[in-house]
Amino acid sequence: MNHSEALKQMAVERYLLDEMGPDARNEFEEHMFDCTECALDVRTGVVFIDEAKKQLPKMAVVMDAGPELAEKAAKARRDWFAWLRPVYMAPVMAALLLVVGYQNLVVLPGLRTAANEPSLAPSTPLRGATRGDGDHQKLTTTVVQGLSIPDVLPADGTGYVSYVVELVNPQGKTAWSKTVVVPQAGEPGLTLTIPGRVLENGTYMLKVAGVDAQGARTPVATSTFDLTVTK
Amino acid sequence: MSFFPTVAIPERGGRFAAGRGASSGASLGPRTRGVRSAFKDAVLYSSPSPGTRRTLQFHSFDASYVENLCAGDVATQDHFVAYFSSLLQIKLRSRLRSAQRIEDVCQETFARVFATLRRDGGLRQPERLGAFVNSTCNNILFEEYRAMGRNDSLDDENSPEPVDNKSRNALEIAASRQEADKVREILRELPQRDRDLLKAVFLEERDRDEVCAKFGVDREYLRVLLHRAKQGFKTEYVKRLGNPTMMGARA
Repeated sequence: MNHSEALKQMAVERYLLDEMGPDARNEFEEHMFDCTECALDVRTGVVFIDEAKKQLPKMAVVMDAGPELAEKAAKARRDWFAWLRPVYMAPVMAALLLVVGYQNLVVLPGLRTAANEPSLAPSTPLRGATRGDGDHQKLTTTVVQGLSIPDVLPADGTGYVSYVVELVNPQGKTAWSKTVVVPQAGEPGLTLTIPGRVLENGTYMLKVAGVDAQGARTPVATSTFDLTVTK
Repeated sequence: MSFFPTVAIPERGGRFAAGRGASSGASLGPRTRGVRSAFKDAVLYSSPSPGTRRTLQFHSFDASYVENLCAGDVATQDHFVAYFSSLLQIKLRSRLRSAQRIEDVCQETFARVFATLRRDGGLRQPERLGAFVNSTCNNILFEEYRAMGRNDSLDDENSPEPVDNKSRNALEIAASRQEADKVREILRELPQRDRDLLKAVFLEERDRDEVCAKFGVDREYLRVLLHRAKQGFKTEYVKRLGNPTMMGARA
């Protein structure tokens, strides 16, 4: 065996792994004793293997967790409900608790107070639009006061079973609509109260249409007003 | 097993003993004491000679080398014994289990080699010195086998193991530590599967084919794995061998 043959056959590795039969081993040893390169390779390999035998058991204790960890990580990746784990849910629940607490302790009581507390606000009767009338009624209110329009329904409801009251906003869209039964004679008129927070500057239209027993609608009153809302 | 090198010069009937400072091909230190002649009734102990800082690791075995050996040049003798001790240890440990028996065969090998070298005519092919050492060792092994019988073990189960009283100095300890660190680094860089493969082969000593089948690799993969790991370690190892202050470095 010469050096190039030893290299080609990976003779050093075969020798170190004890893969050689007796004849091949003797042949390689004869070469190794004469070849300083192969001798160095074998010596290096022996030292490495001897040291690796000492190191591998120590590494195995630490590294044995590796496959388990990898498996756990793989499982976690496949776990669609991983977000339900406490590590994620705990802060989410805490945040929800804060929101719910704030709403229950601050916002809702404030709203109840506002809803139950008597308040004073001006009422603004509307005049109906007349044909050719280019001047709209001008109204001013505040965000806090809103708008209170009394007697939106006609006094005489003969021929109708109900009225449809419709509020058109400055964009021309129906912002609000409601159907009410024609009041009986002697009953008080209805007042339309609009919260200030939903009002904006611009021209509004309040339409009232009567609905007969057959369901046909007939416009009975239309009021247009220019609204200015101040804070 | 460590391959602590032994030094050349035996007493009559004595042993080739390790001198402090003898290293496997590394170079040399304080003056040899008490050498009367190279091979004949020579005093036992030696230490590397001073002033020689060249490394002998890759010294070629030629006529001048053999001539120096026969002339009793201490540096050459140190190198010779250190170099071939490690190879003989590697060769013999696959055949003999007892460290004492291995040491005995090593000693006998050196004794016969030197005896042949100092004969008139000596070694006909100086460049084949290594092969001559190997064949001398083979002859000794053959004699052992024949003497003990084919079915008997060559290991003397009852003989006490030689006490390892070879102390190491700080440099040797540091070098061993560096080697250990390097091996650890190489092993850490391997994938877990490769580590497990090496463990199964070298620690658990399982059948190679069974191990390869279990890990889904072939023998070639195992050889390449070992080759790459060994090459990665080689730089560190050669660095240590080349250190002229290293004493008694193993292998």
